[in-house]
Amino acid sequence: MIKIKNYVFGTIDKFKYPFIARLIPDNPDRKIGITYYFLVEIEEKYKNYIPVYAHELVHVVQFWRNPIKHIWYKDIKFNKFYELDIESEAYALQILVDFDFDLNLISNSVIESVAKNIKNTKSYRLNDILLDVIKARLWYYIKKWKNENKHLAYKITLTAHNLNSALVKR
Amino acid sequence: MYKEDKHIAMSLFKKDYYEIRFTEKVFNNPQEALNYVSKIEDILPEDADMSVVKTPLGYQIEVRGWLTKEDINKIKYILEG
Repeated sequence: MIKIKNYVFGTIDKFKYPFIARLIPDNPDRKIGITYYFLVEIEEKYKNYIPVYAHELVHVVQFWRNPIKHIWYKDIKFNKFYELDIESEAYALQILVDFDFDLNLISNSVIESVAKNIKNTKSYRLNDILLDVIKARLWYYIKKWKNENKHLAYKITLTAHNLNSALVKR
Repeated sequence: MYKEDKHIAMSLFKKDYYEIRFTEKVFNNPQEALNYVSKIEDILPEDADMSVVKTPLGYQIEVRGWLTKEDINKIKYILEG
């Protein structure tokens, strides 16, 4: 990982999945972390909260897996089912890495926070259906991170810690 | 231009953050990992430090600092018992 001024350049798995990261000032209108394709921005207030780093780095991996599909569905078609899928994958790893989080306690509040992250979910009826879908997707991805994608999950967690150390002087 | 280049070179070589490693052993609960932390802390260089982190595999020990190969071997030796 290389730091130039306020920016950190790095990769997740050796030379795969490159990204740029920086801290942004606190802003009530924005989320705690945002990823634009491969640019990761983390709010100053949450700079020591590792699960957010993991969450945003998952989005970087998702972009590099298939950039054209990612841009097409996310930013051109605004496909809410694609967005639901990528958000639940990111939240699944975030939950796994969170020290204070017990997997047996995946409550509706967590699932609702995933739903809030997905655009175009204003209709209450749609939200109601979505909550069940999100719950199922979350469990699917939690199992996937623990088994098939174990290696990548480990690499992302390590990168999250490294990135935190690079951005925040201790 | 020269100044810019120099700045980049400086931050490339300045060690303003530590290298981080997770030890290979995975623990089922943090308490178990903490027992090993106190054992390993004695043999680490002064500027290095350790903590227990949660990874998707379970609880692991994070070592923060610039370690030599000898240090890593010593840590492995303790963890393998």
